[in-house]
Amino acid sequence: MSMPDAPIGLVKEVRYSLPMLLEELKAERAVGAFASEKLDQTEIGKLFKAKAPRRAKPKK
Amino acid sequence: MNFKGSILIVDDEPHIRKFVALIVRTLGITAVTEAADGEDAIARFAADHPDVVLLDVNMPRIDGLETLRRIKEVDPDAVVIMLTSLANRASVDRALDLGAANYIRKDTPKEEIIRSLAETIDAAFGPGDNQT
Repeated sequence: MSMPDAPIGLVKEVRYSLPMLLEELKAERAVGAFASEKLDQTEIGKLFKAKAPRRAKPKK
Repeated sequence: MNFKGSILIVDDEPHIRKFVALIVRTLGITAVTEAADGEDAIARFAADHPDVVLLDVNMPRIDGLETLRRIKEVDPDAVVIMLTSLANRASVDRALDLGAANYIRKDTPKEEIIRSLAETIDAAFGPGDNQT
């Protein structure tokens, strides 16, 4: 198998910045197949438990 | 659990509200009010300041996620638990981002719904706290 001629380590073009990649990931999570994936209760529970529990503000 | 606070149940289906009210009463909670849609829920929340909101997602006019966002605008510390048949990742992620306290599927066995509600309320208010 032949290798491309470009020297290793030479970056010819930067197509994406990290913020752009994160935006694309966010969009994919919102509308793509990933977004419509059904989650079972165990997975949902893990997501919410991973987030630090927040205590309600006491009422006066 | 020794929670003596109030709960607002929001669902557009009357029989679901009745079922959820029965579940809530098994936890010893008697201060239960109901709303049939998001607009009604936001108005009742602003007027009554219930300690906990149990919120459906699929509802006419304003859906549950938008209702959650608006309730959090009124009170960022509001304890809102989503109780819904919609369990796709986008919906769960959105609820998490908006600050829901938990997200429970309606097709979860009743005993597990009760356990999840009790755990979430205990995490928010403490196992021995008495809300009024």
